[in-house]
Amino acid sequence: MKDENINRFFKDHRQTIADDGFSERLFAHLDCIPAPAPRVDRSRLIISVFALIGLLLFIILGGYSSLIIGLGSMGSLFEGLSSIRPEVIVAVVFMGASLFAVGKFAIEEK
Amino acid sequence: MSRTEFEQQVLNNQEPLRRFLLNLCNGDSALSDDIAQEAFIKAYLNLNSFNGLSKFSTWLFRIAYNCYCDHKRVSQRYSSVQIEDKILTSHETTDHKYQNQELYMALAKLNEKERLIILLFYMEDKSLKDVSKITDIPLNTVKSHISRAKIHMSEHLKSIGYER
Repeated sequence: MKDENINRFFKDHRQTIADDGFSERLFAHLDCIPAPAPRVDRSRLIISVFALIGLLLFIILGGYSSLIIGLGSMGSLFEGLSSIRPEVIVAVVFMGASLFAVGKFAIEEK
Repeated sequence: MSRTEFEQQVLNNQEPLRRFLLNLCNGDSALSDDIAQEAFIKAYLNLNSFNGLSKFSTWLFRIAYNCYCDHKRVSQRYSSVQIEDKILTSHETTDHKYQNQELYMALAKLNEKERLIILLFYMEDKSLKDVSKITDIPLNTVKSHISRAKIHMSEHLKSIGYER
């Protein structure tokens, strides 16, 4: 049997359900129960606190000098860029594409 | 979501939800309305947990299906073997009785999962993704249930001469 035949069968047999006071009874019932407590979102506060703690640790533990040293070593890495091989470029492109794919998977547009 | 918005959602969704439950309960309108009321109350009490990632109706149907499962667990009266013995509610007209009987007979040819999925997909026009969310069954399993159910339905509908 074709899909449209099954579709038609269900459309032909779809019942119409009249409200018949259902909603009124439900609303009357809802009047008797306490309203749900409003949602409290503390995520912004928590993010700010942790960002501040991170910044303080960065300053106290000498993060700035470590950052400069790290960037310096990155610079020396790019010194030998002229001798780069094609497989390295392919690997970098592939890694970029993989990260992009993971990003698309992590955040799904509805 | 405010109380007024929730009330609007009730008005929009009460018919499809009650019809879905009515068909799941094989035409027992009193039981299905009880479950629908319980589902709406649970939804209202847990409005804060609705994160908006899915449609409100999908979330509501999921709650209703869980309420139905809880009810079924408590009383195992609504097993598939009893469908054919179902006594229809007295306020239905003869035409409706016949129409519903035809529907319940067709649904009786399906197993429980198939019936649930077919009702959501064909009767309530839910997408495969929504069916998967409501039933908590993986998408591919939903697809295979639908194709098996179509074979079972097709055999029955042919036997009653419905195919046109």
